[in-house]
Formats: sequence, C-alpha cells, structure tokens
Amino acid sequence: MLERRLLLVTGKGGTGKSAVAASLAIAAGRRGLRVLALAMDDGAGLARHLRADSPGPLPRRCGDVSIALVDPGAALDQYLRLRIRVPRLAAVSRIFAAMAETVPGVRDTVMIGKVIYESTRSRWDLVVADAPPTGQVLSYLGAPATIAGLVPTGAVRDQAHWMAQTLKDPRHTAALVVATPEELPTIEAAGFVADIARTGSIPLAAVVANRVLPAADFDDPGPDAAGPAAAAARHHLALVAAQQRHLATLAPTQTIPHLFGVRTPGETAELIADVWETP
Amino acid sequence: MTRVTLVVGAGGVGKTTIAAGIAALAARRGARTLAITVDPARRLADALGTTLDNHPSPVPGHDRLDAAMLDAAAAWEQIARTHADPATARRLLANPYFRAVADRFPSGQAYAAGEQVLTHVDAAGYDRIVVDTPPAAGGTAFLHAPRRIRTLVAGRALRVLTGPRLPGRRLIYSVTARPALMVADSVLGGRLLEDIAEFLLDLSAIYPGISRRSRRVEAMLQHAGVVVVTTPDPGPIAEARRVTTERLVPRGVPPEIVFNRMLPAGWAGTFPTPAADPIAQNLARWGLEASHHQAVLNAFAAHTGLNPRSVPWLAAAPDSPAALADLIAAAGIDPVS
Repeated sequence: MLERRLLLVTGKGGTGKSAVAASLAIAAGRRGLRVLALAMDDGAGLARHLRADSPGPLPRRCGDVSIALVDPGAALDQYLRLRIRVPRLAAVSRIFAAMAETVPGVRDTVMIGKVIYESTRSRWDLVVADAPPTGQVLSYLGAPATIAGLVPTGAVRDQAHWMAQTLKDPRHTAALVVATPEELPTIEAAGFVADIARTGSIPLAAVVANRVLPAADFDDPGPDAAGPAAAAARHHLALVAAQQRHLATLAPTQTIPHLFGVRTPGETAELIADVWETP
Repeated sequence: MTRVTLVVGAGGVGKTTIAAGIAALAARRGARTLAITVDPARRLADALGTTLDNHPSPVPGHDRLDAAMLDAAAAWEQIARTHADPATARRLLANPYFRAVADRFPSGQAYAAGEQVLTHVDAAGYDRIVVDTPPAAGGTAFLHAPRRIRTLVAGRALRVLTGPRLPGRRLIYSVTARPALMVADSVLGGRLLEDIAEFLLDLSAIYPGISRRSRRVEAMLQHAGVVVVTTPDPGPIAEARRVTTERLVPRGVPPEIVFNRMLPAGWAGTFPTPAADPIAQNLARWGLEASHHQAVLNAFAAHTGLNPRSVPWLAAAPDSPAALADLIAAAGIDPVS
C-alpha cells in the first residue's frame, strides 16, 4: 500500500475519509518515509486527525508527517509559472483566475495537478491526498482529459496529458475508497469502483469498510427481555445484521473495526494506522 | 404565507431522512407541505413516490404531503428560458459551459434549489416547504448562493475577458486584445478564450433577471427557519457549530438542533461487567458510547445556549413517511412552530 508515490482517499461524506487518509500518512511516517498529507478541502478534518493546526498551502511538519492544503489560487499561480512557463504577469494570472472561476474543468485540473506535482517531487516519498467525496473526485479525475479535449494544442494540453498518464500509472498512483457498511456509502463506493474501472482513470488500491462492528457473541435475548442490557443486545444484533448485508455488496479488501470508547480524532487515526502496518 | 425550513448539516448525518420526517409530520398536523429532496436513498425515494422530479407530486397515502426532487440542470434550463430572450436561451442551453456552471459551480445547485423554492412560495400553494440542502453546499454556503451567482454572472471573468465595456458579439477581444490575452491564447492554443467570452456575454443577458430574482431568493432564505442536523462525531459537530454561530449573528432566531444517531441516554454510565456474561459486556461498551454521546450533546448545548433534540440510532432508517413522522414527533421536534 505505502510503496506508491500518491494515494488518493475518497468516499461519501461522513464515512471517515479524513481519518483513513491521516492513518495512511501516520503509518508511512512510522516507517520512516517522508510523507505529505494533502487536504483538498479546508483541511480541518485532516488536521484534527493528525493533531495539527489548520494547514496552509505551505507544508508544515507535525510529528512524522507534513501537512498542507491545496489552495486553488496559490496552485494556479504555481501551475502557470512552473508547469506552463507563463511569464509572471498579473494580467495573465487574472485571466486564468477568471477562467478557473468560470470553466470548472480548469479549477479541477489545477487542484489535481497540484496534488500530482507534489507526488513527483523528490522531497516526498509519499503523498496522501484527502480527496473530496466520490462524486466530486470523479470530476477531478476526468478534468485533465476534459481540458485535453477543449484545448487543441499547447502547453496546457501537454500538461493535461501528463497528468492523466501519471494518474493512470499503477506504480505511481492508486485510489482508496472508504465506506461505512450502510446503504448510501456502499452505493457511492460501488459507483466509484465501477466508474474508475470503466474509464481507467486511476488504479484502485483498496475498498475500505470503516466502523465495522464485531459479530455478537450472544444470542437475541428475545422481545420480552426488558432493561438496557437487552436493548443494547438487540441494538447490536440489528446493526450487525444490517452491516453484514451491506458488506456483502461492498466486498471490502480492508476492514477497520468500530472503535469503541475512542474519543478523539487523533486517537482514531493512530489506531487505524496499525491496520496498514500488518502486511 | 408559506414557511420555509432549510435542513442543513455535514454530509452523511441523515439530513435527507430528517427533512422527510419533518415534512411528513407537518402534513400530519394539518399543513399543506412540500418536501424538496436532493439525493434520497432509494428506499426513501420509493416511499415518497416513484415520479420524483422538479414538479411536486403527491406522496401516495399521505394527505397534504407533496414531494419533489431537485434537478439542478432542469432548474437552470428554466432560469435561462425565464430570463433570456428565446435566441439567447437557445444558445445558452446548447453551450457546454452552461451545463458545467449548472452542474458543477459549487453554488449552482444550491441556487437552483433556492429558485425552485421561491417559485413555490410565489405560487402560494403550500403552508410549509421543507428543503433538504445539497451536500456540497452544506451549511451557510446555501444561504450565500444567490450572492455568489450574481458575482459569477456579472463577475470578474466577464470584465477581464471583454474589457470594461461590453463590446458587440464579434468584437470581443479583437478590439480589446491586450498582450496578456494574447499570451493566454497562445498557451491555450485556439479559440478557447473567445468561446468563454461569448458564453459569458450570453450569460450576462440573463443578469438583470437573475439579479432581481436572486435578491428575492436571498430575502426568502433570510427568513427561513433552519434545522441543523449533526451526529455526535467531531467533524459534523464542528460543522454544526459553525453553521449555528454564523447563522445566529445576523438573524437572532435560533435554529433547531437535531442530534441524529444518538444512543439512549438511559444506557449512559458504567456498568459492572461480569466476565462470563457477554450481554452485560455488550451493554458496557455501548454504555460508554452512550455516555460520550450525552457529553458531546451537553457540551454543544452549553456552548451554543440551545437545546438540541435527539433522534435515536437505528439499524435502518424508517422507509415510510408515517414512520419518519413518528420518529420526528418522538424526538420532540415541532415542525409547525
């Protein structure tokens, strides 16, 4: 899992995407890898799980891990100067900023381009991206191809082509999709897996089932049993039965247990990190 | 007068379920109610009626309850046809960028939902409209959507590409061509910028209409009731706090806070765990979770001065509007107040 250069973690909102992304970064850091955890939103969730302050566009060290976020404005500026080699003219930047506002493919390309760019730098052994929810991440993954279709020639087209190739490369990149064993998260994860299989936009590293309850080691106390112990027993059995149904559809390659009694996001991510250390 | 309720919160907390329940309960208590949903689970969609689209249709077996599902693309098509002359509307609808703005501009879906709600408010056919807000525009983004749309339609992009005055259609940047545009054009290779500028010119034709209309949407949202849904998990709690405090400042009317997926308060506490009794041990671990849920809820109440309602953690969300209404009623949420 940690041998690649870029891991993109996605899933429906509320499934523990940021926790899983943070756990991968922590596991890589424990192994001595130089790792960057990169948030593609405001970074609040990723920072909580890494016990870090709110991140900015510049990587900041926090324990064994560095953390940053992809700021669209800063990323666009860097993209123009480094990748397209546009002279640093304020007017040119304004035009591209205006385009990025209007043509969604441009903004998406710049965001995913920044993630890919960081993953190719010798500064990092591994970049873990806490990517947007599944629906949105598909448009990010498709953005380079969209741009290549809109723009007939030139540096932007070459860049978009390079991005699409890097995303596709199984030695470099892979996606993890996280789901809790519930109806909508499972449907979204299955949709994501089917979509990337069809388009070949990114290799799949893992389907992660999060917050999986342990099987009950007791029998149903029956409908007549009263009191909290019986109610908790029925609650557990009903949840486990529902989870098993959805797990059958999800077919996870990695299971993370429900962490009873764990209070903080930092603790959660560190416990999940153990999962990636066992081969 | 129609009362509008917005149901907001982080993704995955059960907004859609809670919104449907509030609507079903309002209808049961006598209000002519419309539930506008965004992306319902299949079972909920089935329960609300199989023909869910932008047009409200009655929910089978429930008097006074209609449901509609937001279709942002259809709503934007409506916006174009309403605010532009037929020729411009045709050009806009055929333009790939227009589709992209409608589908993918972060506020596009939220604004389309607001437009739709205003249409129903104006038609005055309902006492209550309950709106399940789009996940990508969770929280206050929904409330800011009308302003963002005005900025987009008459914004920086258009001025930068066409210059301070709007030139005639074919003049766009052959006249205003500046060195910067030429650099950008050579980088992008071809007519991309010109295509975009043409699109923005067409879009600007609907600006007066959108401007007027979006201010009314804004005013309506300012007076809407807000239900903030969260679970006792840190991410959703942080989002709920942000929405609650941001929202409280301008309005002064407190939102209703709903904690979803709560364990019974009666389980909270530590229980003796005889090693041989797995049922007692099961209660002990869930009891710890229940204590934590209560602690999080109490901290939220103390921080905001509000009194959150609890909706229990169920293995599967109820799949009928009647059962959803029962769930909301049992939580003590009054949809009519």
